[in-house]
Amino acid sequence: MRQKRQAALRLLLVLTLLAASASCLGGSSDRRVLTILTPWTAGAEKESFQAVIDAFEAGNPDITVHASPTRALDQVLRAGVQKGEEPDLAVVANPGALRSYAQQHALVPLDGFQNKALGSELVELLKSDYDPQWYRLGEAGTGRPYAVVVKASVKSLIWYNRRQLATQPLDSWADLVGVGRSVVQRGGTPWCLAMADPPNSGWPGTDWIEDILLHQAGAGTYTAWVDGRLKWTSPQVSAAWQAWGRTVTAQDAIHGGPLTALLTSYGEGAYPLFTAPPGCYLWHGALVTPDPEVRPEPVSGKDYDFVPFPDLQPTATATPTANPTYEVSGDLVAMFRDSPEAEKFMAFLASRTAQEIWPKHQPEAAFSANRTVTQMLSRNAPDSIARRINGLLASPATLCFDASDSMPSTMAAAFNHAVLDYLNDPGRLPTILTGLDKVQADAYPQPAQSSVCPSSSSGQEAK
Amino acid sequence: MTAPGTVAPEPGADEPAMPSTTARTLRRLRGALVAGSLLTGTLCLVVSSQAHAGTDAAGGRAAPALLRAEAASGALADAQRVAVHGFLQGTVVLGGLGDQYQNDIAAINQNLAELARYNVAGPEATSDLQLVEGLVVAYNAEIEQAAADYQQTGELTRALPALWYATLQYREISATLDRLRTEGRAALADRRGSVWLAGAMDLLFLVPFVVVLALFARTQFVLRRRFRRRVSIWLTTAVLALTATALWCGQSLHASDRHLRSALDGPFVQAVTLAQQQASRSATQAGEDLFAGVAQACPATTRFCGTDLTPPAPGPATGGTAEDGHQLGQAEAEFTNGVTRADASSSERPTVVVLLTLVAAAAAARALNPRIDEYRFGGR
Repeated sequence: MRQKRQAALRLLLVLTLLAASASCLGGSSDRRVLTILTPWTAGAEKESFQAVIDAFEAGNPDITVHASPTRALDQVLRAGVQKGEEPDLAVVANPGALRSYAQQHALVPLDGFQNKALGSELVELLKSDYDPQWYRLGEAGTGRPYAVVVKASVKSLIWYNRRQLATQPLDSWADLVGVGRSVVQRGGTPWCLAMADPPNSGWPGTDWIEDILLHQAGAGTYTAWVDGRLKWTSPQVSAAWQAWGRTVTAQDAIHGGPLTALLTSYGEGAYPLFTAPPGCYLWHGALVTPDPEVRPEPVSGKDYDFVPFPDLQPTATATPTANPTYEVSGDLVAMFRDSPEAEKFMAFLASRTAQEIWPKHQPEAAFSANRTVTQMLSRNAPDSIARRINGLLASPATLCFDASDSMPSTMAAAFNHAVLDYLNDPGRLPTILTGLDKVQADAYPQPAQSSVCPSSSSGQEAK
Repeated sequence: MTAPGTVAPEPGADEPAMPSTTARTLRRLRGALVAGSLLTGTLCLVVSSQAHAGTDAAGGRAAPALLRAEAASGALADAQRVAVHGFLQGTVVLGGLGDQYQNDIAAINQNLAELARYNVAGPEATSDLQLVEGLVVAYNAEIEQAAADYQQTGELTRALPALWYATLQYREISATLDRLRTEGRAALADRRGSVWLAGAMDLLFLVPFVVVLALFARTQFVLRRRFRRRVSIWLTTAVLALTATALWCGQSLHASDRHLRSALDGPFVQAVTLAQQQASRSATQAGEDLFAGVAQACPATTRFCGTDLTPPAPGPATGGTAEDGHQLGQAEAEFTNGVTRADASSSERPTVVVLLTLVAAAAAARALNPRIDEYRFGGR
């Protein structure tokens, strides 16, 4: 009997403990979650960045990195910063936005890490393994490093249908114009063009105009224009618009006509290059993406290839550049909330291990700003398109950063919209350029002196 | 009835003839009865409190959050329908985007703000919510740009690019809202499946109750056998008080559960279904109008200017009617009332439970104190 009573008492005690512990169900885990806002909403870019995250998580099992992809990155980030609900990290749309956030003290500088040793190590790595222009891109004119370039792109590329144009010379602007004319005479359309990429639709057109200006008027003029020291109505800028207009607004110059160019998503813009018969033969930009449903899958170097953007007949006021010039861009990751985990992730992004991942996933479209990685990749797979583009980055060329990315965001937005307006009605060019001059007058409160076309080059540095 | 006066203890034949053993038994029974009564009452309060929290989590937060996500989705689809229709009909030129569009945008933002306040689906949902908020700003900017382009030229073709960009944004917002709704449904299922709402944990208090009842029976048996007390009024009071506690607790938990189930399985499901039907109709009509606009501007030979639009499937596609809106409002109101009733039932008068428990414990102690005292005095 006594034992039974004791058992009953024990049961009551156990039940009490059960009730107490049950009310505490759902305790928190120690795993730290980092959020990073990215613009890569789908496809190969999203998968490639996820591969970078996976590699980091494999080495840091106590940290989870949650990528939040959105088209409206700038709007989401701006709203988050205003409300004090910013993510731990974000891909910043351009150096202009990076500068703006740095000036608002919304960013954590890389030399201001809580872990001083890790911060110093990271800055040293960026100085030793990255060319000075990429390092300065992360400073965005503030004098302190704020960002790591996770992916670099070369924009000065003309892609072509190799099966159709293999025998045609494409080395000069005159060659390209000639090829365009002959295609039109045969009843085809030479160029593919796609502008839709909300909320920044129009940027593929800005890349075109920037490339023409760079290769027609030179790096000095390009820099002055980016810095707001050269008006949009200047002869050089106006000539670049007109050269582009002659290329893409002429009768039958672009696949489907201007409205199709305006409505086609950038990611699908090059699909007609790979149809049979081809809907177009030429495409400008950092990457060319075949329709994934096209069979047989186009083979790079055989079905399509690229030539670097050629120099145009220089304008009278052009500033000649000794080396070839290429327009490039970089995706910058900056830290908005400081934490040991975020610092670790930033340091990982700059490392050689992380920088190798993306180019391996998208060998013809994504490149590393890390010189050691670029040199290593340019030695791999001789004659491949990827190796040749890596070769451009590693050559003694002048690399100029994307102009609209380097302009104040108001100016860049107006530029995007102006391109759309121009395609809609090329006859309005004088009005459009005058309007851009007005925006320029307001968008540059102080004289800017950017390093958009630094004179140093990776090849020289490497040597 | 308990007889007054002192009765000499009479040990049972099978018990050792040691008065201290009976006293110890009585003291232990008293301790167990008091502790058991208190434990029963405490568990009743804990279970009620957890059920109340569960009702609040499921009916007061997760379900309304899902309703707000559905409402935001519906308002977005309606904004797209109204905007595209305005462009197709040309009313944007003079009438602008109109009040209905502005109301829809305001409704989206209001629903998103409420959704953020509920914050039930974790950090991923919070992140998605921020994305939607940013995308809605971008969407509205594109629609306004399209309206400006249209008003400037009076040509649909000039407005079409910005309208198409807005549509691409609209698709992304819809996809993110779908994700939020999925997360919301999972959060609701999780809350409803919690041990306090779906499991037998809410009957936890019955375990000590049954044990204590058995102890009461044992005590009565001891009192009758050793002291010839057939009925103890204090013991009976204790049993009645404890039984009342258990009944009160069980009844309120049952009523709360019934109200919550009824609200979630009835008007809530109806409100969600109606909201989804409205959103679907608006989206279909917007798609048809957009297709007509693009087909008007682009010949089919250009694959509709590079858009991925396809001819819409024939079917009924009209915007939400006033009757639908009324039904939706009514279903939401019924759901809210049901949750309020469930909430009230689960948290009904906890002081009554506390009082009954204390009465049960005190009466149990009081019932055995005189018998224990007899031993104490007898031992002197």
